[in-house]
Amino acid sequence: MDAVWDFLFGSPAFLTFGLYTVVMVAGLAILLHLQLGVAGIGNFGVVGIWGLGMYSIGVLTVNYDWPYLAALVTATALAGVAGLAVGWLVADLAADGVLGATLAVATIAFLIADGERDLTGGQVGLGTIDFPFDVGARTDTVWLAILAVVVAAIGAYAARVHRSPYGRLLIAIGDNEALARSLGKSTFATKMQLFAITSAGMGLLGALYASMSHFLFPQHIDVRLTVAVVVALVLGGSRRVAGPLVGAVLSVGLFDVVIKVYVKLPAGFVEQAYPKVQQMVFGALLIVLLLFRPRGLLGDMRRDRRAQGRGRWAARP
Amino acid sequence: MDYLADSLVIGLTEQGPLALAAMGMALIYYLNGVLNIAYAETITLGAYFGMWANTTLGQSFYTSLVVSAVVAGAISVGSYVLVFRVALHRHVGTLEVIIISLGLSVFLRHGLQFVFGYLARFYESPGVASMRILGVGVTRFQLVAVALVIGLGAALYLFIERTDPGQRIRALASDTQLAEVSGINPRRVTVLIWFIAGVAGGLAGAFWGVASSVQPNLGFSRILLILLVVVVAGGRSASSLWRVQAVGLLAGVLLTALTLRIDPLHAQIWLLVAFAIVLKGRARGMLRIGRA
Repeated sequence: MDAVWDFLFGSPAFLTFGLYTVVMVAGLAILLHLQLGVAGIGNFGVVGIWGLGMYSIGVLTVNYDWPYLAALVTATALAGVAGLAVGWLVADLAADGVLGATLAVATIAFLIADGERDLTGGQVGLGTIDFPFDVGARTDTVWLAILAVVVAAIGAYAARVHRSPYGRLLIAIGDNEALARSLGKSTFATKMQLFAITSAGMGLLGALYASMSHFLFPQHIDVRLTVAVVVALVLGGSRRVAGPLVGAVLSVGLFDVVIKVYVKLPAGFVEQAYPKVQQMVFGALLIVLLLFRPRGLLGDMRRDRRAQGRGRWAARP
Repeated sequence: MDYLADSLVIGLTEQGPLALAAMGMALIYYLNGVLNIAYAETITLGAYFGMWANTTLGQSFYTSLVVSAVVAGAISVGSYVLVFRVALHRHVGTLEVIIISLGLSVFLRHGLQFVFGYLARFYESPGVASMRILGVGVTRFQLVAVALVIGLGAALYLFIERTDPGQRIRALASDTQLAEVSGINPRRVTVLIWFIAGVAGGLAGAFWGVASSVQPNLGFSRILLILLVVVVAGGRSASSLWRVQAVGLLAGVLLTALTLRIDPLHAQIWLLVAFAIVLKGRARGMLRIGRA
């Protein structure tokens, strides 16, 4: 059986981890899609909130011996509260302020993980964080299935938002915030609500990743994850729920699953040059896509909305 | 008094290039409307090419500054012509231009490692003859570097304010159509803006590189602070460049003052929090800093 598995799926460890990364990036990108694609708020600190969820569950289970589920719920809630704070901070800032503030969130998360050694272990690392159950050699595959269910739920939530009055208000904020406010809508409270909920989701994905990673290091809170999420969003199409999923499969899926599992690369190349090539391709993709296909592969959110308009985000000349 | 002197001298010698880099980034943002994250790599590449001239070609540090300035200026112009001019022509929105600049930053930061290698590299040591200023020991080279960084910033401000090309730059920024009617070539002037901004970034990179090491993250690890200085100094006009320099120098001194009192980790966090408070206070109309 294992021989068949190996033949079909190459190296199973690479495969499970690669697939896990794809599904997780898809989940994060669906949440970012609500912030950036729908409401037009450029959050560049995704990895910070994700890292908060990841380290929260690590600290609670390893340092304080909390039961797993309680720690998972607390980590998610903490990320939500942090999201509420970030939402309050950025809700009335212009694009430049939002960029600075959200990048600062990611930086602060890294600094705390790196510097608060008593809490996080710093560069020594924090661990071991195990799966909350053990079903033998395929426990990580079951964990992947659980993640897929969580991400599917996130997708279903996002699809519901699109059809709800709340979602239409978010779209209105992204289109023309002043107009939305002049119609008597509280755009400030709506943005805070958006950031609290989506950040809780990002924190949950981070907390689930802690078990997959077993050992946590500050280097996990790296801009590369933010870039992967933005690439998935932009490639698939930032206006549609399915966009991030398609984008994550085609970008992270290509590099972390297809090439790593099925292409025999020289060992030295995989460790040193390969991640850099991947980042170069991601960077080039962002440039080319936004210059020549800003709506991504899936295009606009609904056919009846300004199909040709380019200026949705062009708040300032 | 000792604490103040320490903060001032160490802050200026260690964080001086921050003001210069912020002025360059502000120039592009205020005059061309582009928030360019890839400006980080203009800084990094300035340091790499300066280090290359300094070590491989055996030039003195001061000669290598010319290489840093010209190469970084050329890279800045290249990124404008190949990427951002296309984006502006296609009326890509503000947020999308930021994402494009993030993509360019990622592309360059990883691409340069195939040219210069993965490991940190170093300038030739520029000498360690030291003296005491306000009771703080500094090397003579550090003093020259601070004087150069502040002098270059002031020169940049005077260039924009007092010279003919500077006047054309300001004219183009304040009213594009009027500037064109009065015979200003917008493309040439915009290229000039990006070149000068690149020069400032490359020089800042060289000073940072010679003070520590030259590595792929040199610019990117500092871009957040640079960006926050640019955003907080505000203004959106060439005449507010002096304010960018002032905020940049002040941020450097403040960071050092915090680092000396508490530890470096919390110092950085508190500085970021301080920036956030200023941004938020201004958005809510409680502060008038930087509103031109």
